Amino acid sequence: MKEYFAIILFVVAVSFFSARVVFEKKRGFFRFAGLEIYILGVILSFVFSGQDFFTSLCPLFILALAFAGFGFGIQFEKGILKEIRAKSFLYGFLASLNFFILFFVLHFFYPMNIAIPLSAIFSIPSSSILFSIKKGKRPVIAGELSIVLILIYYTVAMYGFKGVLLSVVFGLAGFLIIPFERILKKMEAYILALGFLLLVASLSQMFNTSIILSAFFMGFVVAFFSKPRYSSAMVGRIEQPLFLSLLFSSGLFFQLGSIVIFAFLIAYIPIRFLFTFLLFKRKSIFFIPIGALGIALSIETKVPYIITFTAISYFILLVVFEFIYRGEKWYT
Amino acid sequence: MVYLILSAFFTFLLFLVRRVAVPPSVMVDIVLSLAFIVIIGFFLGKFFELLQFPAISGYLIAGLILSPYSFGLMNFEPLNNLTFITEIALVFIAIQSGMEMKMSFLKKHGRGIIKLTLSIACVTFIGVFTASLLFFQRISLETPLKAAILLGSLLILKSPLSTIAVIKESGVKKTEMGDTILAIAILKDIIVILLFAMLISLFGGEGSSIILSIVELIGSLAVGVIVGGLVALYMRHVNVEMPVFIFILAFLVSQFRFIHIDPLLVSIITGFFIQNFTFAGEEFQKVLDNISPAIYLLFFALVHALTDVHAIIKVMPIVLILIGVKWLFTELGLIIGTKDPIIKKFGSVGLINQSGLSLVLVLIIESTFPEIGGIIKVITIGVIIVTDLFAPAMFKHALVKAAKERKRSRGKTSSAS
Repeated sequence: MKEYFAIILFVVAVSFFSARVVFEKKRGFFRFAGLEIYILGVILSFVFSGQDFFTSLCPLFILALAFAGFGFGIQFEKGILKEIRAKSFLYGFLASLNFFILFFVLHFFYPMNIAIPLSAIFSIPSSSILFSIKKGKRPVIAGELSIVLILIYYTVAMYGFKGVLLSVVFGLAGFLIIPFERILKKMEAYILALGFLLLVASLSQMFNTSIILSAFFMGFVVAFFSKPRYSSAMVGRIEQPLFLSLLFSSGLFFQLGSIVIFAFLIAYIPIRFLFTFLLFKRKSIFFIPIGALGIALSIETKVPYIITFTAISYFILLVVFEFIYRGEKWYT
Repeated sequence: MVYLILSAFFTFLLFLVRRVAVPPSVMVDIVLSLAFIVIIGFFLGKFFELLQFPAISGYLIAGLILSPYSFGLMNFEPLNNLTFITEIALVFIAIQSGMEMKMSFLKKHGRGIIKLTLSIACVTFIGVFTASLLFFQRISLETPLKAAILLGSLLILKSPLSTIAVIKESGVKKTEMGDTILAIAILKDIIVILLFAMLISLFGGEGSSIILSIVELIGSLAVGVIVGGLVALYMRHVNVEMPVFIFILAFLVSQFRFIHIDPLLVSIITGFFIQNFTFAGEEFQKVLDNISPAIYLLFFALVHALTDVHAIIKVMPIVLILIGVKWLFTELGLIIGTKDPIIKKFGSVGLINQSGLSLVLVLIIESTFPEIGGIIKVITIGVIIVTDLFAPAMFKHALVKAAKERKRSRGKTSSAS
């Protein structure tokens, strides 16, 4: 089992590394960050098989999920939260209702354990793309709030209120990072933050709650109660390879399953677009793509066809977004 | 004190978690184990640093506390699944050891230092070899001679990294004593590593011959030079994501054992080549220094987590005897090899500390010679633990005293003239 684990880590490192080198050398072969790594995962899914292989992916998933949550939570600095007006809360809440609309439809066709994650995945926008909105912060803040709310709905639906409570408790580990950020060196702070993230993630698994939400609260605590010097830098540094490892893992779980649901979910995107258009007008195009959190949530379900739907939709929606929104240079 | 309290708190937390819940799978257990190893190891390392001990001592003790052999706080399976991390870390540490060997430094110290190092190494080897041979014969080990030769070679080592750290911490700038001890430590590394590559090839089972071992040795040297050259080329033309690049490099080099090329020797030559024959030495060293705390923590804590604490306690008498013998014979080597009265007086204290590299070598012995590897590993770890607890502090004290004495004797000489 450990050989598999080592090989996967190696492949992810090599893929990330080559992607970065290509990117740095400005040879833009890969317009859409991560597509090559997803295809690599899909190819390898035909080579590797068996329970051992997929079980050995688990630590990588756990870490990637924790980073997805932590990276999202650490954006909520005090300064940003001070800008929030009541209207933004209302808009955020309204945008989060996407989850219920989708869930209402899906629960007729699917059992709860599939319908809930699918609803969450396809109603969460991409946080990094929301942040690329230059003028008018309301859609950004409302969008971010809607993501938090959807994460909470998802956790309540999957793990009950106890799950949310446990996530909050585990998230308090963020308070242990804050004092050390001030006194430790950069690398030491990285090591400690990584240790706490691993701890929160493994405890969330053991006590049956969402890794993403626990890590989110941890990141939120760090960002809100201090001016994170190193944690944000660490997220910036590790976020990308871990996001790529999420895409790689998605590729490994490649399984098309039912094409009908896939078509349905794609057809749902215009509905979502219309819904957000009512709230945010032209800015609603920023709500089209699925982000790292959506992919992380899909992996948390461990259901191959949901993971595949999400990954493929991620790329399709990214293309759609870029088609509509031209001119700006962005990188996920 | 805060660090000690925090490490105690997290150890207790681990105990509670183990009581309350069971990890749903081995892989979750791996993540949990890794988390506690990182956190407890980190806090204990900081605590030891504040006590003026090397942080490695803290990692080492964290590993021993968390070991399944001691309090059952961790399980064997997750730890066994993490051994590939130690293999990669091993290459990293070996590259760093190679980087320590600066030709300019050795040239500056000339033949005198080589003579002194050889004298200390040979005398110490004879002393430790004899003592361990007697011990291995007494416990009726199957191949006592082989085990004694390997242990004797291992205990020659002295860590250049900890020497540098202690010299820096002591605040005594540019002392002859510090420079001499550092040069000896570096030269000892070179001698032992070359000796080890030969010994491993020679003892490495049926079919091994001197010619084959020389071929393997030359092959490893050549590959080391090629890898070093590639690193330098990469740094000149690309120089992106160095930590990831080093991880990939370490992973690949650790796999060289499958083609009969010694990963350790390759790594050391790589480090040596980059440092002395390319432009990239300084920059590469900076990157290594930057990521080394994480690597050390994982390596030392994980290796010790898989060490049987009870076995170390059992061999403690021989560990103490071997440390005594090493000290005594190092003193003898200094008497034979140098005329400098101050180095004669204080030098042995600086040379007693066992190197972290010996842990790297002992893991190779364990995998190559499982029949004797276990006992050699336990004894070596015992020596590392004991010497790490007192040697750095004593060396620091000796450095300060030696500097004062040197100043006094120089003052006397100048006033006499």
